[in-house]
Amino acid sequence: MEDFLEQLAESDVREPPPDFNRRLHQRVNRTLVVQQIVDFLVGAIVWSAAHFFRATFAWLLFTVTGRFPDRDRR
Amino acid sequence: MALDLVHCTDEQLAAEAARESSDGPAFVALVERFRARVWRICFRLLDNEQDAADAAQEVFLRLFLHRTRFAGRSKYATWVHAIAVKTCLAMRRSRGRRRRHENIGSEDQWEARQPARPSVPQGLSMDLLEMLETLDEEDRALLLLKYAEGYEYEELAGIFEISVSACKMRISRAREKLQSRFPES
Repeated sequence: MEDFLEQLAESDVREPPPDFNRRLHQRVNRTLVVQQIVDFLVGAIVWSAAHFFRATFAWLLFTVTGRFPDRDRR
Repeated sequence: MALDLVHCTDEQLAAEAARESSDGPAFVALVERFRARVWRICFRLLDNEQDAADAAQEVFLRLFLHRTRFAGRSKYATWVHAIAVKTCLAMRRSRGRRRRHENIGSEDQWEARQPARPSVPQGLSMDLLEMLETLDEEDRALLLLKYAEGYEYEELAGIFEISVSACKMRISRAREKLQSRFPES
């Protein structure tokens, strides 16, 4: 069995395809673009949530109670 | 000071690649260093040129995405080879699942639909490859890396994250399984 398995080492392994590096570079770049878009969108969601927090809160409050929060203070 | 990409160690290159924001010179140098070895692992484990090319690219993509995660607990080469083996095993499992899923018709129809095996390595009998197919995926990979690629037990233990004695035991048991299933070989 040992000798039989040694036959595995005698078999040839083909060379990698010639355009391997180019395709890898394209794939890495595509992944980077997707990653940056996702990062941007996640950042944008957090930023807009923080930026429009008061407006969103007022809208929710109006939806639930029918009153604007600022109107009571005036 | 610029790093000498030719003479520095794998670990130094990996640290430099981790600082790069894209596939810069250090990462490209790592790909050049490991391309042949990763390709050989993928080709041996998947015995198909197209799948090997996909798997090898997937390996380098993972290396790129996880380039900051190398903790230095093992040699960088061992880490790379372990990623290559895991990627190939995952691909083989998904290929097996896909085939089983597609295998709705009879076995004969399914066999007839299969293209001829594209790349049986030259000089290797189909019998031996078919015998190895009867083992479970990890045992098959262990035997291929040990006997086809000449890895030492210590390297295999690092790649498969087991002890050296467990590695020897698994290889010995896999050989015994083959012996009991194919006593005439």
